[in-house]
Amino acid sequence: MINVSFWNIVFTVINLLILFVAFRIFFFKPIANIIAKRQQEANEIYDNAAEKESQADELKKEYEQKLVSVEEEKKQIISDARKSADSQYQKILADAKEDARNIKDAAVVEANQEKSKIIAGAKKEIADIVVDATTKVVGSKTGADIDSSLFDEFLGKAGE
Amino acid sequence: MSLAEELIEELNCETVFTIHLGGLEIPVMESVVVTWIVMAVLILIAFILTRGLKTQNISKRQAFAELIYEKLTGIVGSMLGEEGKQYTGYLTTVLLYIGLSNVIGLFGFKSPTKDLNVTVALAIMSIVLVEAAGIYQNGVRKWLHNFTEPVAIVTPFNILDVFTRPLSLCMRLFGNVLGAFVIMELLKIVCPPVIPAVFSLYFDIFDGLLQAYVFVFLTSLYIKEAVE
Repeated sequence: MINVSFWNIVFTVINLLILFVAFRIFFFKPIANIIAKRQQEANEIYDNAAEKESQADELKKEYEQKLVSVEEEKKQIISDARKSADSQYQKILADAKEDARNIKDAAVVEANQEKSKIIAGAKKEIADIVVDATTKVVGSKTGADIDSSLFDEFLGKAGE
Repeated sequence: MSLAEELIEELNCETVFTIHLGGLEIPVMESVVVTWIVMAVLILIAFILTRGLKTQNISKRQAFAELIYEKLTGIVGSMLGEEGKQYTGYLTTVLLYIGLSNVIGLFGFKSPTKDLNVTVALAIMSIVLVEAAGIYQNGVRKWLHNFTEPVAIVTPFNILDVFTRPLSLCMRLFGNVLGAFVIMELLKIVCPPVIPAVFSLYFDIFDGLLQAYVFVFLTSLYIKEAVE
């Protein structure tokens, strides 16, 4: 109990050192290693995530820029289309006006022709009627042709 | 056999066998053999706990191993401070060794810490570690100079400290384990069977683990002081 034995102390010291080394090998080292490894893995994951995030940000910016350019392009196209539609419209309108004028002109000409034809017809009719009437009134049919021409002359003067 | 004889027989540390090395006769005492058992148990547990370690999807066993590791090194490391971190491993080992040695009496073995030689060895190692840490950290000159701190007049006491510290460490541990053992033996004889079980919780388990903690706590305190 109280007797101090040199060998006992030596043995205990050796035992403790062996236990310490064994614990280093079998307990502290492996667990410290695995914890460090896990930490490293976690760090890698975080780094990867940060990298991916920055990549995503870049892509986002890129797409936003693209979107802006697309918007501009859209505006351009629309304005182009509007312009071309406008000119098309103007052209069509001009064409239509032109057509309308042509038609109107043609109609006027035709109407005039018709009118002069009708007037001519009417003149002839009236002349005939007048001649007939004159003939009847005069009672003679001779010299009717001369009278007809005289009447024509008269009518022509009166009409103007 | 009288009570005194029985106690003495329990307290005596017998030589289990003797190694003959040339002309040298090396006695191997009971406490050394029990220490081997303690070591075997501790190493076996450590070995089993650290099989198949993984970084992800860890087993319950690994979680337990990591918990023990984190807690023990956390406690000891915080006592040692930032400068003395590298001594955590040794002190944790000592904590486990003394702790298991103190409670191994419950399993029918004689506690190695009930043998003065074991506590002497532990105390010697502690003081060697303390002084070595001081020399390693500060260099021989500053280490020697520290004996005259804070004033020159305390130098003899500081030198005395080198001897009283391990002495107090060793005697405290030995005395507590011995005292607890004697009280428990007396209780077992005087009032069996229930009351000793209750006291056993305190003397065998709580006091045993507490003394392990105190030993490591004081050693780490000395180391912390030495490396500052």
